Amino acid sequence: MIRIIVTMLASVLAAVLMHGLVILFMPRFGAINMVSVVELAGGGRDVVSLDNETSDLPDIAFSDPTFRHFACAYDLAEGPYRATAEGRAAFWTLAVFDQSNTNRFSATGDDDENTNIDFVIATQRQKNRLAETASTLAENTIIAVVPDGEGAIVLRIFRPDASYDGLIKAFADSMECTQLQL
Amino acid sequence: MRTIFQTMIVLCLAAFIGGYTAWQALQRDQFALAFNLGQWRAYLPTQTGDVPPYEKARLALYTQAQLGYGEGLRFVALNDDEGRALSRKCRYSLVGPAPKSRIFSLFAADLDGLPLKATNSLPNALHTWSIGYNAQNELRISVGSSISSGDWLYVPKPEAGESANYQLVFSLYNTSIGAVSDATKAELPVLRRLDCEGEASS
Repeated sequence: MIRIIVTMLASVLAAVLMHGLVILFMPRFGAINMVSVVELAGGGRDVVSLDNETSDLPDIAFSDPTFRHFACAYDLAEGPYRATAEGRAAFWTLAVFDQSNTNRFSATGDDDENTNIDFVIATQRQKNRLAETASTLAENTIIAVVPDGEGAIVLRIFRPDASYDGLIKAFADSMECTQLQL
Repeated sequence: MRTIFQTMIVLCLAAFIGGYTAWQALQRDQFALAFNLGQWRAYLPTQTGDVPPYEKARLALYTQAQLGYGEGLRFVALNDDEGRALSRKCRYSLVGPAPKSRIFSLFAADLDGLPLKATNSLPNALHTWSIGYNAQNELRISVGSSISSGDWLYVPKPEAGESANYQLVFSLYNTSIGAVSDATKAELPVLRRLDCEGEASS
């Protein structure tokens, strides 16, 4: 009888431990993150469209059909990254996803103001180093501090209707993700 | 031999119970950073501060185009105003105010959050610029598979073997109600069932 009780208690304790391990390690071994989606789309440091319906890209939940999505991947172990784009978009948002799919930084802009995109993604340490060599950045460059590691920069461009496709393409084509040397 | 057998039982039970409860916790959305507002559920951005472990695990499990604080706020409705699950076999009316935002969008998604695609050029997503407002500056949108006058969001009928249930996704971009305290007081449009296939109109 005691043996059964001990077995049951040990099972419950081990189950609690297992539950905790699954929750804690899911972000590390989770199915697919934005970085892998960008890589599957043929990107990496190059900017790619995430809306290619003919490709075998994994589905992204809550991907708004009234927007077009473009992205590039980064790895802060290589240094900070700069994302730039120029053009006219009715409205855009920029989001930085870390490797556990958490949106770590975001911003918006539209045709009236903030038309151009100029952001640097960096760790706190890299930001401090950049401050010493700030001359390499434009005056209005925004530095976003995010956790170290890999991630993806996602640009969502509002598409009111098909007549905006040309502007959207030009804006997306101008987007560049470049690694900065410290 | 007996000890080995006992250890095997403990490990099997632990793996099954621990794994199952963790999976259930992530499926049920109960630990998500979210709150309910009428029939809508709002998912809060997670970019600032430490993300709680359950939310972090949930985000890692599903690849989502999650909105950040700087982008806006997303509301999701799974039920109508009487708590009945939304069905692609029914028609609904969405009436009420739209909170202030630079842009808002409305689309239907399956229960995994994947947008329902129209196989034709029917309007399967609406936004600020594509709809009209009544004299009270309110939305008045018909939702369903059958064509309607005025603003209409097309929701395709389910194909054979497909679930009829779906969710409505209402996203506010560059909104002034990003803060939790404001968001919980936001007034949102109400989704009311009109009729369903095989039912008399109400």
